Amino acid sequence: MEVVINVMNELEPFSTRSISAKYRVLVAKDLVKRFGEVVAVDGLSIDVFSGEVYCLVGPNGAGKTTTLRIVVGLLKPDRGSVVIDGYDVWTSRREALMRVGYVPDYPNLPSYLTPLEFLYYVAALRGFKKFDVEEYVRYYVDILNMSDDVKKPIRALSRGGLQKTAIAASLIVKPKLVVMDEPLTNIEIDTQVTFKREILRLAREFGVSFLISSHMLPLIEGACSRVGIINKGKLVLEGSMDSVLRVIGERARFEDVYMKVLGRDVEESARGS
Amino acid sequence: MKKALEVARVVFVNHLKSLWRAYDLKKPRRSPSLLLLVVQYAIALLLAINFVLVAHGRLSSLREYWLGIRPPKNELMNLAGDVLSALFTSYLLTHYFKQRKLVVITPDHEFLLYQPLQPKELYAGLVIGLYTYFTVTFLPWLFIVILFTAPWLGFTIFYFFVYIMFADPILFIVSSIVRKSGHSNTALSLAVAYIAIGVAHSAIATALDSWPRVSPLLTYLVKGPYLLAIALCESIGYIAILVCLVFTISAAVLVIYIGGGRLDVSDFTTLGEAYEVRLRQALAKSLKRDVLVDWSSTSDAVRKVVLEFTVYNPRAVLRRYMPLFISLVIAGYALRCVLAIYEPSLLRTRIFDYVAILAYSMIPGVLGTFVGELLSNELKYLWVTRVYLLDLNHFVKPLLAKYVIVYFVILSSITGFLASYRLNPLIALAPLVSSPAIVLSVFITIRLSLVLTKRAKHREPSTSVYRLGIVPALDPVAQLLLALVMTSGLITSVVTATIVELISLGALTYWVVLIVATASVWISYSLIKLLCKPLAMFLAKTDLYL
Repeated sequence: MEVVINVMNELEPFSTRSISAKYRVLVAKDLVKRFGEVVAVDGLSIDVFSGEVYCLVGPNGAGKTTTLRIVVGLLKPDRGSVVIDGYDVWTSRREALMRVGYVPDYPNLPSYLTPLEFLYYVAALRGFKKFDVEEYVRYYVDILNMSDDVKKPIRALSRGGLQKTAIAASLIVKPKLVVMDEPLTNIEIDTQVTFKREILRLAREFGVSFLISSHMLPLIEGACSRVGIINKGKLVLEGSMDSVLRVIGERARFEDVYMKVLGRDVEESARGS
Repeated sequence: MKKALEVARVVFVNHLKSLWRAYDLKKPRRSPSLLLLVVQYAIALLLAINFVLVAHGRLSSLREYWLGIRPPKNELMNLAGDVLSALFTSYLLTHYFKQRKLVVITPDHEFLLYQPLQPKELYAGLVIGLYTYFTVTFLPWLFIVILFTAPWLGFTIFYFFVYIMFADPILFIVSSIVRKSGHSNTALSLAVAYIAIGVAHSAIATALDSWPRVSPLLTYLVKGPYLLAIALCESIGYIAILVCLVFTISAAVLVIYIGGGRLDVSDFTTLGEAYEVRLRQALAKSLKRDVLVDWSSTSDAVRKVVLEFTVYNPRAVLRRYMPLFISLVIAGYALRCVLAIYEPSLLRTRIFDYVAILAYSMIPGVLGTFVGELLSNELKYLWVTRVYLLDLNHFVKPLLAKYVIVYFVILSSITGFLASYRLNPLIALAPLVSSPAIVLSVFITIRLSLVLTKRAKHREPSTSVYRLGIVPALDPVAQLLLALVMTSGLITSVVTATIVELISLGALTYWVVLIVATASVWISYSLIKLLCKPLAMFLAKTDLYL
């Protein structure tokens, strides 16, 4: 644990100072999604800029997964729109989705393929040839610590193995926006650290944007440049990590802010700031 | 036993609840399944009223008509019954000792695995609860048998139903005890030896007689209770068979409860795990494939994964169904030859049409299997296709083609049998003629299966994979959707059967059949092309929950 904390401290969180100069990769505006009488997402709007790592956090059932599914076009919002790199997900599906990688909360994958086959299959779905992605596949298999499992059938993988396969698939297609729902659940600590380094590298060097839903404080505090706290389908607090921490004073920890916000104590002041 | 009965109550009530899960007192029409149950009992009530009328001779002609079209009782039927009993006995004796069996628990009862229950309490409770539910839903249909044939037959069938129902858990416990004592191979050897003795006895009896005989050793395990029930009915009466029923059920429950003491937690599994094991075995047997590391185009890769990398890949289907097709064609011809020698009069009757009707009636069940396969495979990972495949037409084409091929091959097996039995090769072309109906039926199946995924999400946790085969556990809307899928299969069966009839009656000549079959194949191909776009659009735009 000590080692992990040290490594995390070495990772400088992505700077948000120049965000305004960058362009919006994702514009999700006024999203509403109802399931019967339950309002899962209630007028939520999110913008994600190029090269930004945006973390969506909130309690279970807050609407995080539904929001991410709407963003990648798996659920149709009752109201609102999702525009990725200038293309609407529902009216220009092809153009919008060709810029997206996605990791669901529980990745159901074709159980009779091997992870290696699955990665090539995903590349083929996007129209890549083998030589286009071969290097990427090798790289992500290596850094995500998948070498031992890559030729086993997917059905033989652990939950972490499934998660790594889905993460690798989302990155080999050279996306502009990667949407990840609880990507680090069940993944071993060393790979978590590598993962954080990698998303920061992709964001800095290639301007790849990330929209990540997570409950993992090390990921949120160590990698996210901007954070949004969602509760009952509404965004109750949003801002850069620094500004969010300042909501309750100097030297605050994110968990304190989170608890306060969900306790509604500082909701109004946060909106004011 | 108290805990077992409590488990039984939970299982029974849970199943019953599934019938009116969407029941709303203010809007009772929301509960189609409850309505179905009510209709089921209403039909039974109407039939009961009819029974009174029949008793007064008002509708006796209807009863006589029904009795008139029943298959005649003769030696051939007895032989067929004996052969089926022998096959069933052989299957039962070998099936339970070949490999390890597990108690499969459906997702809505998985919570029982985590309760402070002994395995025997859990097992006995599951068996009693589930069988009570089956009995309650089976009873109305028993009325029909009782009223249209004879009360003794109804009681006999019920007795047989109970016997068959309890044979499975008892044999499971026996095999489990044998396995744990390390004598599975000995038990299997003994079972095989018993069957061998039975076969030898049958051969000797056949040699001594002019007519094929099947040894009672092979038939009485199945026929025994049935004959006993008839004897009881005829000699003592219905009260006796009711007493026997109560006695049999009580004894079976006691055996299950006491024998269940030898079970342990490793004997139970969840439906999701059981399905994975089944898929693994099926793939190991039927799927030898190359590794997917190269592809010429997107559609090539999708075709490989959807069409070839599954248990329904054309080669596996051919390997699995070709022996069945050939066997049925040979069986049809052999049956014709045997009848021509022994009972030529039967060749002129429609007696084996009943066999065909039975086979056709299995087609809706095949579609039910398709739904299960779709939910477990293609639709389960549809998120991959939805997010990464930019043109879903690439996915829809092989998907439609795959299920159309399997459907076509299964229907061809039935018509192949009839073609050789009636010595009319044109009959074998009937599935080609009805191929547009096949395409439409598969289209409906895929489309409704996607709607079913929405129902699944609300019924089960996301980590538990939704399966068919647990129809009672589905919510009413899902049951209704499944009924619609099966109805489409029934319509295809009726269309095919009608075409077979028209060909048999000579209403369609050789050239007409050829022209219509060619036109139908062209229409089917056009339909696939035509339906791809709306299906792709539906797959792309509908909410996805799995």
